[in-house]
Amino acid sequence: MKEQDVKLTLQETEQLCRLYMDCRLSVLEETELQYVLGKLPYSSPCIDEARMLMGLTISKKALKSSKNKSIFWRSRATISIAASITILLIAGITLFHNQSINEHNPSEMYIAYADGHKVSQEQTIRQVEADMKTAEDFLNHIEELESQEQRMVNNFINQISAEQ
Amino acid sequence: MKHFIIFLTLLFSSLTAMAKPPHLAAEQLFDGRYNTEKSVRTSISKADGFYYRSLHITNNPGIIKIIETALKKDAPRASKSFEQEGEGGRYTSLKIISNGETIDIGLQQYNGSAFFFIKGKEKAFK
Repeated sequence: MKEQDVKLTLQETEQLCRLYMDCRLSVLEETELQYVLGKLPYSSPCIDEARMLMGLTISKKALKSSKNKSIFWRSRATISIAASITILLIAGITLFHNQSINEHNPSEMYIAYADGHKVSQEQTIRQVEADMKTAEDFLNHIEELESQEQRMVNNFINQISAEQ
Repeated sequence: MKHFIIFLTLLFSSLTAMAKPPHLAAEQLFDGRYNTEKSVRTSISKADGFYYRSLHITNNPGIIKIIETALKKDAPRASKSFEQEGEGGRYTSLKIISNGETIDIGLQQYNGSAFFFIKGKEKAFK
């Protein structure tokens, strides 16, 4: 039997060991179990007891491969956990940073320059508000101009239609 | 765990992709280059989630030309644009949608002077 042929799960192996200890296995089955236990890396109280009764020790190769596998899975899990924690930390720091930026930046901010100099705080608010009003007036005026244009276009189309 | 990491990575990438600053040419004019210019009056405000910036240019055709060029660069991105020359001077208006919000850009030119502004919700500029 090749090592690759041994594909028993831990539960199945334990079940076989229990049957062995209850003396319910045939001689042939016991031999096979002995072979299997010598090859498989599984370890549990039941399996170890069966091994002890059989006078078996787990093969170094199997033990090594089991150790390697467990180290591999452990390191993979550790990397995954570390990566997740890092991502969460970055997200947390970013959110906290944004929040602190918002806290440091007051909800209202006014900056103004005139004649090549920064304007005083009081004057700044006045200047900005006046300019914002100008922008509002500009947009209202544009809206008015657009509707005027639209009316003119409509009149033109109506006139053309009437003439036809 | 692997799926969780992939999910988080995708979530962050999509969030980054969703909110993108518009990088308008008109915005670049507010990098402080005219702060010491005597013929320019600059006003900037951020309040109630709105962001407003404007320049008042008095008798400085060079700067007005630069603004016009910037507006021409941004014009293809406008969902709506309007231009008219009338009694109050020459009016140019652009409406640009960014991050689902509207950015209003306006330029009024009159007698060698101009008023130029860009405004919209803060979200539009992030």
